This record gives sequence, C-alpha cells and structure tokens, in this order.
Amino acid sequence: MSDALSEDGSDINQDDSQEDVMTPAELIAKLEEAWLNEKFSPELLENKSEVVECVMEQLTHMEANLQRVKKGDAKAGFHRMEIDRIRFVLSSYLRSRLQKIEKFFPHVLEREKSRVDGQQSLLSPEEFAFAKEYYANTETYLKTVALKRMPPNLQTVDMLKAVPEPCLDSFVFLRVKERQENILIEPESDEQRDFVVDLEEGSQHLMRYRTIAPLVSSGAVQLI
Amino acid sequence: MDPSEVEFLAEKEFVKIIPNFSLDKIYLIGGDLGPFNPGLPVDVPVWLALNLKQRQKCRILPPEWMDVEKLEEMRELERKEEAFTPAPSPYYMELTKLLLNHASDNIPKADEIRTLVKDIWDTRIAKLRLSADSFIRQQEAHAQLDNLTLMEINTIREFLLDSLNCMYKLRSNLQPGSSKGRFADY
Amino acid sequence: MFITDIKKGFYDVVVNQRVALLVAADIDALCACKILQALFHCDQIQYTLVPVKGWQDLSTAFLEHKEQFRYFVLINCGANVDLLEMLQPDSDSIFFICDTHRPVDVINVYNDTQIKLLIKEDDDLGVPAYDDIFQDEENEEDSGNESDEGSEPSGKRRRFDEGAVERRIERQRAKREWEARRREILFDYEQYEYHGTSAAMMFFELAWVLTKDTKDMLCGFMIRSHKILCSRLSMKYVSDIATMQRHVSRHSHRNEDEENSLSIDCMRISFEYDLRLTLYQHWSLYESICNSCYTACGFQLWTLKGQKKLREFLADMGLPLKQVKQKFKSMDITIKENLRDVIEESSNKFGLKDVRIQTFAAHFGFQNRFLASDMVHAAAALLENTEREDNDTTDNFITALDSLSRSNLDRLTTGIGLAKKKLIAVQQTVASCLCTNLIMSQGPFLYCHLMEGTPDVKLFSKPLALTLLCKYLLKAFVAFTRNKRCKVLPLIMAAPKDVEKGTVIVVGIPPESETSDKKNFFGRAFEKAAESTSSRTLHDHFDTSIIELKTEDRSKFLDALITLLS
Repeated sequence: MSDALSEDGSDINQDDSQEDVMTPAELIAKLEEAWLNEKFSPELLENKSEVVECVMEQLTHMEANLQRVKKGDAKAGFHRMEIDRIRFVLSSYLRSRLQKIEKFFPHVLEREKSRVDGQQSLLSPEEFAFAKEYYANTETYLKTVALKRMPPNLQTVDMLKAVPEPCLDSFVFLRVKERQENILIEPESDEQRDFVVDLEEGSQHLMRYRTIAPLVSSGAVQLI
Repeated sequence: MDPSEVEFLAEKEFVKIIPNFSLDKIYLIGGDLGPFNPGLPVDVPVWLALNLKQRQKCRILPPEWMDVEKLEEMRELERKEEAFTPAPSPYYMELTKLLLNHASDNIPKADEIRTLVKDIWDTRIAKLRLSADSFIRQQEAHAQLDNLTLMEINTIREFLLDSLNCMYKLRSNLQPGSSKGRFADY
Repeated sequence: MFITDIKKGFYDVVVNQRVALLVAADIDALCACKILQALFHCDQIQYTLVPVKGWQDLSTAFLEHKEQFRYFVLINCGANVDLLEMLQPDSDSIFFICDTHRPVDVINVYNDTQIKLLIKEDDDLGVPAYDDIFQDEENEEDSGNESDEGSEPSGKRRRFDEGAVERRIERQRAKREWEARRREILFDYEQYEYHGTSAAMMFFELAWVLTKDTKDMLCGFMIRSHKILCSRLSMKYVSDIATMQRHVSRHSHRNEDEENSLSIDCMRISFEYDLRLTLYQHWSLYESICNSCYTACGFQLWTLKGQKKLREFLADMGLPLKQVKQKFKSMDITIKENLRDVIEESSNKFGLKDVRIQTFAAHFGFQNRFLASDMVHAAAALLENTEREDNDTTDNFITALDSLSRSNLDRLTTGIGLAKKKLIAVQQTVASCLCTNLIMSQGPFLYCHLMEGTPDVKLFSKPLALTLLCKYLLKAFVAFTRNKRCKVLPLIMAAPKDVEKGTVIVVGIPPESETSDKKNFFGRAFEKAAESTSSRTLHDHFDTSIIELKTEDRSKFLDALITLLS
C-alpha cells in the first residue's frame, strides 16, 4: 500500500482493499488500459465501474486536499496538473463508451436483457439509464417525425435490425501482456487454411478482433 | 486516435531535469517525485519537465538515446535490416518533437538530432508502408508487428484498417448498410 | 512614492495575488506587457489584461474591475495625472504605475500608500521638493480656516487684537508668496512633456533580478530600444542602450562555449550595424529606399530631381534595377553579400552619412531575421489596424501582442504587410503635402491640416500613425524648405478623426534639430488654448500633446494657440 502518499492522503482504498490491493499508480494504469481498449475495440466492453469510482474518489480527495493548501504553494500546481491529466483520461474513457452506446444501443440493451443473474453487466447503472433513455427518445423521434404518417402496417420499426451491429471482424492492433498459445486464425480467402499462432509476451500483432475478444476482456492483451 | 493523444501518452515518460529551485518530495497520485534541489538531477515525467522548463525553473537533460552517435548507429542499422529494429524509445518521435520544440536550448546538437530522428522515422515508415501493402496483397489474417511504436501504428491505422474492412466487405458480399461500418475510433 | 527595489516593492507583493494589468496602446507598453506576462506565467500569477487607449477607457476599466482586484498595474499610463483624484478608488486599492510619460504628477510622487511608481528615481525627474509644494498638515488647515473666514468675516474674529491681525496679514503675505512660488515651480515642472526610461526596460530589469530573463523577453525589450535609437534622444538614453547592450552580450556569452551545438531554431540576438532602411529585408530594396524616412528625405524623393538622384545612386552602387526591384529575399546572393558596404559607400558620396546605424537583430531558423525597427513598425501597424471592419482596440492590441512572440510568425507577416502599406501612405501624404504647400508657418509653429477626402486619411486618424507622419513630414519639410526660420519650428498637425461627430485629431511635435532635448510643450499649451477659447476638446490621450477637437472650433483654437505661444 502506498504509505508514501499519506501526506496528501490516498488511503481511500485501504477500506475495501482486503481482496483487491491496488496502489493509486496501478489504478491509474488500469484506467489507461481500459481507456485504450475501449478506444480501439469495435464493440462495447464490460464496464469498469469500480476503477472509475476509485479514480473519482482519488480525484475528489486530492481536490479537497488542494482546497486546504495555502495560495502560492508550488506543489499545488503539480497536483492540479496531474489531476487534469487523469480527468482527461477518465472523461475520454467515459465519452467513448457513451459514443458506442449511442451507436449500438439496441444491441447493447438486448445483451443486457439476455444477461443471466450473476453475470457481470456490460453497462454501469448510469449507462444503462442513458441507453434506455436514448432508446426511448430515438423511438419517439422516429414516431413523431415519420412513422405516424406511414401506413399502419409500416408503423413499427425493429431497432435491432435498423441499427448496425458492431463489426467484430474488424482488425485491431494489440500488444500481448500474458503469453497465449494456439490462437486459431481464420483465413482471409478460401485458398488459405486455418493456422495457429502463439502470442509471446510483449509482442505486437494485427488480427481480427473476434479472435482475441475474450483475451481483451480477460486482460491478457492490450489493444493499441 | 488523435496524434495528440499519443503525445499525451508519451508525456508520461520520465526524463531527467536539473531544477533551479528546491522543493520537498511531492506525492502525486501516480507516484512520488523529488525531492528537488537546485543543481541536482531528478527524474520527472515529461509533462512536468516541460511545464517547469516553460516557467524557467529547470534545465532538461536529454534522454540517453538522444545522442548523435547513438542515433547515427541506429539509423545505419535501420537502413540495413529488413525488419524493424528496436526503436530508441517507445515514444522516440513524440519525445524528440516535444523536447526539441520546447527545450532545444538544453539539447546539444539539436539540429542534427532532429534530422537523424526524422531519417529513422522515414525509413521505418517506408518499411511499414511496404509491409502493409504486402499484407493486403497476400490477404493475410495475421501479422506480427514487434518493435513498432504507437505513433507509427497510429499513422497507418486509419488507412490500413479502413482498407481491410473494405476488402472484407467486398469479399463477404455483405449488403450495404447491413452492418460492418468503417473503422472508427472512440 | 517611488519604489526603489522593484522586486521587493512590486513583484513580491503581487505574487499569489490576482492582478489587473491596464496597458496603454503603444509599442513600449506592448513590450513591457509581454515581459511582465512572461514573468507572470513563470510564477503562475493570475492577471487580467485590459488594453486602454485613453483616460476614459482607463476610468471605465477601473470601475469595471475595482470590485475584484486590489492590485492594479498601469503600464505607460497614469503617472502624469493625479490618479486618485481621477479614479476615486477605495482606500485599499493599490496602483503600481510604470510609465514613461513625464512629468510625473507630484501628488503621485508623494502619495505613500496607494500609488507606487515603478520609475527609477535617478531618471533626472526634477521633481520639486516636498516642502516647496506642500505645506504641513496643520499649517494647511490653519491657513484653510483663515481663508475660509476671510471670505465670510464673522463678528467673532473681529475681536482679535491688532497684533493678531498683523500676524495674520504677515502670514497671508507669506502664504501668497509661497503660493506664487509654488505655481512657478509647478509650472516649470509641468511645462514640458517628455518621456523617461522605457517601461519595458523596467520590467526587463525585474526579470533579470528574478533570473528569469530569456532571449524572447530580451527581444521584446530590444524592440522598444529601437525607437530610442532612431530618435536619438538625450544622453540618458545612450546609457540605457549601453545597459541593454550589456544584457545582449551577456545572453550571447552564456551560450558561447556550446555555440556550435546550439540549434538553429534557438533565437540569437545581436547588436550590429545595419542599414537605416525600413523593412528592407521583407521588401524590395527599391521600395524600401523610396519609403524610408531617412533616404526619402535625403534624396527629396518627392521631386523629379530627387528621383533622378536616386537613379544615380543606384547606378553608382552598380545594382541593376531588376535586382533592386525584386524581393530582397530573392535577390542575387552575390549582390547581397556585401550589400551593406556598397550602400554605405555610395550613400556617403550622396551626402547620406548616417545610413548605417547600430541596431538589434534577432535570428532564428534559417530564414528569419528581424530588425528591432521592423518589429516596431509591424506591431504599430497591427495596433492601429484600420482595415478590419470591427476595428476593436482590444483585438488589435492582442494581435499586436501576439505578433511579438516568434511562434506567431504569420501575425508578424500580416503586420509587416500593413506596415508597408502605412509607410507608402505616409510617403505619399508627405509628398502631396510638400508639393501642394499644405504646411503653413503660423509664426510660432508650423501647421498642417489633412483635408477630409485625402487618400488614407482614415489611417491617420490614429495617434501613432499620425505622430509617425508628423515626424516624417517635419523632417522632410526641414530638408525641403529654404526658409531658415522655419527649420527650427515645431509642427502641429490636424487630421479628421470622426466625420460623423465632426472631430479632428491634433498632434504637436517638438522642432526637428539635433541639439534640442525632445521636450514637448504643446500639452500645456493645448489645454490653455482650449480653456481660453472654450473650444470643445477632448484630452483623452495619455500623451497630452495629442487631443481631439471639434472641427468648428479649430480656427479659434489655433488663433488662441498662436497668441499664446508668440
């Protein structure tokens, strides 16, 4: 645990650190990972609300500390800059998730519906509310603008069909964090055969997202 | 991804500075820095170093690889080898740009370094274009890209991924608009 | 009061405070502001920058900000009036004034609490001694009472014995004498308007003390210096230049040992000889010669004879017209190599002995080389940009401010473009004024009035441009006229300011001569003339020798001025 940070205080996650011991620095690294993964993956990834919450806590705590610092302390400037940088990553992360929700909202909600209890939800409660509202608003919008003037048999629209699905077949760049063996690669053309590759730790690859999607969520690879 | 975001990531790299002020250790969320003593070199992230430099509070020491001889060697190696050689630093281009733009007076032989780094960059980008071309031509499904830096990947990302998606669309004969849009970055 | 230790008295006070910067719209203030901003950035001091163009602006700006700020820094404005009287500030507002305008108002000098003057006291100010102009408190009160009662004699006072009456008469006589003397002293002190050490210089020295002086700052600072160089003022300025030159060499020395390794992009500043041709490095040589004050006046280019002389001059240098008329940057490299020497040699033959002057130049990159004088012209042109529709002072000020930093080369280029236009306009106006005999000798001074409808008249409704035209015109006139008496006269120039409102802007400049100290007595004279004729004037400009006047009142104002000065 980071006793070093004790001065400016960051013993927040000492309370719930029994199972999940993480220094603030690691926390920030986690956030950045999530940010990059979210940026490059074609589909919406699992939410990392516990990371987001911890970072938010850290930020509020630090800001509260800064309020107490007297004017003109050189350190305050450094802290403020760091806070701004973290805040940038955080908002960029959340924003990219919202963008994806807006783009794929019916599919996202569909997955949420079919989720069995106990399974980790894709959306955080706030994002879920956002998605539902977005869905409702889009529907009302379509209705008032066009649908209600249509013949009765055409007045419904199936959102699931109307909105494109995320394209899991797009290529992504990735860096391997944990060695993986026997990844099956589907061929591009019919003449070629399937083949397997081993992903060495630290190596970088270009391949289809579908192949490594589980590895992204498990954290074994990092999209870049 | 925007190049400025790559630069943002590069700014996390550490660099040595010689401060001209004194300050106790500071405890940032991302780790501890300092203490700062006038004249004694200390490691700080680039974002902080540049801020201090702009406020005339420190002198930046160039990173070890930012040296004419070393870079010349690397350039020769890069030209000789067919594959990508290990880059001087995972963020060599970004750091060169940042440091030379903001602290060129602290870096000896700045002009030569700028040229050398640009040479290395050009060689590598040329290789990258060649391999991207053959990747598409031969309809590969996997490529290993060791030693490529984030900035290099980023320069080719949009173009390469877009064309791959396009090819995929043509090949799998999907209905237009059914799905599988362009590459998008969030 | 004067602040002796600028770091302790000024900088350490405003550190960690929010500061309001009220900056006059002139080049020196611009440079000073630039330097101060750089300092504030280094120490992360919050400030609000408000450009002000006149007293009215200053008052409004103060009213708008007085709630939020305690500290006000006034650059190149405020020293020559009784600031407290004018602004009526709360007693906890504190003003730091860095101003080149002289004389400094005596009240400002002797106010210890609210007015802090960032002015070097050794700047031969000649401020009258305290005792000469102020009486001690009790004395003042006493005499105040007496004069009060003198005006409304009440029965009570009559009871005083003879001796008391005598003492009173004696005292009143002394007081009258003292007052007469006070008036005389103040008149002497306030009669002439002139300029002191540049504000930019003060702030640069502050930066030096704080060891945060950088080359960029120095650049801003040396720009200011150019004006000093060009107008060749009194000895005081010469010593200022020497100081600056020391700074320059200190800066270049600092990098000497690693000179060969320094990036080409780093700025280098040198103090060197260069030609007295305006903007020639960004223009063609021919146009620069035609539009530079020095050469144009030397050749008298507005005459046919002058044009002929110019041809001869070019022929003498052996420069082909084709080369001379093309952009300097694209001129043949072999010609450029020893161009300066060639020009100097030929100009000496043609009686232009001082074509070479010492100036500061900044180099960076492979092709950027800027002379201090060029920067001044460019910034001034941006500051009084009349081409833009909205014509907003603040915007122009900010643009001009930006043009001084080297990251905004495009701004600077725009500025240079505008400056060229301005110089051509000045040149043409001077030529037409001289050829149509618009300059009239009015006895104690020369007078020239630009008619409404003259080309570029809009340009000259701005103070800096008009002053430039004035100086140029006077130089040209002195070179042109045969009348010896006229050569030593000052010049007053009027140009239409606002047609709708029916106002003209009037500028007075001191006579053109090598010896006279450049003190300007028009400020006082304008005030008096306006007072005696009750002309509708507006003394809004920080320079008292620049006023606005209703067009109808012009003739009676001038008549009064003639009587006053002859």
